Amino acid sequence: MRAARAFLLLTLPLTLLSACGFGSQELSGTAYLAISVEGDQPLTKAILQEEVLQAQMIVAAFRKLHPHVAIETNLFREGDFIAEVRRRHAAGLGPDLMLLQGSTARTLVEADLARGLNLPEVTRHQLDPDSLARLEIRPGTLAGLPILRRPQLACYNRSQVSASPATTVALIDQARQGLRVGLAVESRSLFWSTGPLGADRALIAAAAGRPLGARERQGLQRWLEWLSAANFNQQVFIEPDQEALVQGLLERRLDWIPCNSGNLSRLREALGPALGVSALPSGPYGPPTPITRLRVLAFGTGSTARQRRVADALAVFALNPWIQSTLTTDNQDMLPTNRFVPPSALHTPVLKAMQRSVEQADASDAISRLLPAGDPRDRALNSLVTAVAFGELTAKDATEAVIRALAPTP
Amino acid sequence: MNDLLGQILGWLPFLSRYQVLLQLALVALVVVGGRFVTRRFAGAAPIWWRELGGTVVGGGLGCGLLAIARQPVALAVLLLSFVASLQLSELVLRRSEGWLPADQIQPLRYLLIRPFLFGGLLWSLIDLLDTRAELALIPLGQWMGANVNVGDLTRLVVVLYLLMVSSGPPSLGVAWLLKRVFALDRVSVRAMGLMVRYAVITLGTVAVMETVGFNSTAMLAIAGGLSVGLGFGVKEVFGNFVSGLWLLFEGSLRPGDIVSLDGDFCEVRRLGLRATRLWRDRDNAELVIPNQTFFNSSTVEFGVGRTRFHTQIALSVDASQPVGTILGLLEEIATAVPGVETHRPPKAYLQGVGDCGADYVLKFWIASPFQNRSVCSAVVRAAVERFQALGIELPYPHLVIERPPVQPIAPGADQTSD
Repeated sequence: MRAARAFLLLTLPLTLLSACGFGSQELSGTAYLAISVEGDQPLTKAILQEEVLQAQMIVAAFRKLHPHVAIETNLFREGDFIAEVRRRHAAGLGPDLMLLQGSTARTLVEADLARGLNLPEVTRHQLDPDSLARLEIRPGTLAGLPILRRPQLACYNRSQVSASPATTVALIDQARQGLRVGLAVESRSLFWSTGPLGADRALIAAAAGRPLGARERQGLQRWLEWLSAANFNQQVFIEPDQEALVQGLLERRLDWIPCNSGNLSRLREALGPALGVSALPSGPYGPPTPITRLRVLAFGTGSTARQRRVADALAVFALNPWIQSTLTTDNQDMLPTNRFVPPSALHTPVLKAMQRSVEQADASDAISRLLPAGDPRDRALNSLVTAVAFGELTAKDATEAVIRALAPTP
Repeated sequence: MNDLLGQILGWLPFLSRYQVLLQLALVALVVVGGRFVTRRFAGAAPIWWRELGGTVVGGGLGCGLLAIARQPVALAVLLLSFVASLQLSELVLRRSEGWLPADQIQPLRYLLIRPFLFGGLLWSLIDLLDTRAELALIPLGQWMGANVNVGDLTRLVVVLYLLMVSSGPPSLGVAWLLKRVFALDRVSVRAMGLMVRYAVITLGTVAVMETVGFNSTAMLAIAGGLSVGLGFGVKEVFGNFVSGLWLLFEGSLRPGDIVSLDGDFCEVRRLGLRATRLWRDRDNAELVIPNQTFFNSSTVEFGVGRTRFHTQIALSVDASQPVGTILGLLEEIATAVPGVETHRPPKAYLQGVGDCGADYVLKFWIASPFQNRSVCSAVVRAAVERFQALGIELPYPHLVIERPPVQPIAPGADQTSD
């Protein structure tokens, strides 16, 4: 009986407290926001801040409007995100809101761990059409609300190189002359280089399970040969993941890396005006194929009515042109998804480079969809790329192995 | 610290979800209902069996119903698993009372099983409510030059706990090995085990503090300060601690030994690091004696396996009796008393002739000092009875009061004088 009394003493006041304000019209309560973090590197304070920066800014602005609202954030790895949400959902402790990759949002809705969105036409009209297309699961239903875009760019140390090389050939040439270039064997970090070498279509076809033509195979082999040759250059450093590249530039061990716009705040803080940002190099076979990370707000299914109200209000708030414009101009590390953000907000060289990257990313949208983060095929591709980069496998042998590894399982 | 508190308070609004309340209500119902039913309808089965059965059956049924109603159950399963594990551990401990020493059960319960179960529950709950990696990064402040966060503190506490709890048996193993390799016969394995254990705990603590990033200069300064503190503030405690270690290492005092303390014989029950626990035969009392007592003063001690005690009684016999006869009689009487060792025969001596008669001393061996009082009494009694039977007087001091004869007073005589 003592245990029951203790239980009641603990839960009753809290339940009553949480029920306070049901009658009032003012928005109040606590909503749980889960944020996904890319990569497998150990979580550090810097990564944590980088990932929650935009979310914190949105929440801070939202709380100015609704001071009785609290948002509790949790960070999960992108690869474990679905499993984590499923585990919490099974305990009734699932998040109310999730800020994650578009592809993961689709999987969550398909697994009944997030609810699909039927946006009114007015809201749909505000959104960038490419983002909408990436998130549409059924006609009229979206897996989540696109909030921001983080394109892939070239980041470099301006005290070492005045401008980023415009082509992949120039990049390797400058590396021969002493420019310390960093490349990561993670497929997402490296996919930009498939376009300039004509391997993008081959990878997309292999991931979609379509048979590859002779030209596509040649393109794939060419890309792998380029990677293998790059590693023979003493000034090209092959790192295990994107975070290692960022650390290399932060510590000035590297002079040029492909980076994500999300890394810019950290790099800017460390390098200051020496940080150079531009679009990635093109090549003899086409423009670069950078991957744009679409950050989406998805909605959990276990929320109370009040938590749902808070989540919905926060999502709508995150989409409004004012907050999107403020986030974009203040941080200079993302692009808005609202089409009505005034163009004047996007006039800086960094934001222009991002826009260029987003335009080039159209081809790579397909690979993001076909090969979502955490997919076993993605890991297989990473290990094959590593083997080629370190000379354990020839480009010719690796070509067939890559095609086999990317074939979708029936 | 405020961040951590804020984060923990941030879990409470989960209680506004009916799915969570439903699961908590189920757990409360199973625990309270199970207790009520098992106590109300007490049967032949032991109470812990019934409670465990109630938790498994009641919890299983409740969770099954929730699952059928497509409601979340993972939190209820976690909490009920914890309750069932606690009940099962209690059951196992009660079962092991027959073969596990009683003084081992409590440490096992409170130092190993319960902390382990509570730790597991806390770990799993945090995993459901929050992100451990994110929680670990919450800063707690700057200690000894290091920015300490929740993860560092947890690592420090867990490693220290594991070192304290689990370093005992391996340390004893190492000590046994060292004793065998270096043929250290006089040194107790327990003492060496303790030294190895303290060394492991100290090195482990320093290593963890190093990994956290504590400044080694600051650590040295604190160690220096502690030394001064130990020297002045708690020098008695520290003195007893060092004495205990030394006694253990020297092997001069071990459980089972018999020592004489203020004229009473006591058995050493347990040799602690601060104090030694003795059992006194006289009044069946347990005495806790600071180790320094044995370290600073001479102690009469009978080690395990060599407790034979040479004792004696004294008797005065009529001086007119032949000395040889009396000596032979005394030795014969003592030999016949149970408890007197016969392989080293009793020996009687004439010590002198005193006021009461001839003073004899009878010396004999007994198995343990604890028998001294009873065997001596039996020997004296046997001697008195035998001498009385033989008509030999056992003189004892007499007090003879001689009063002068009283002169009769003539009638009418005047007793008064001017």
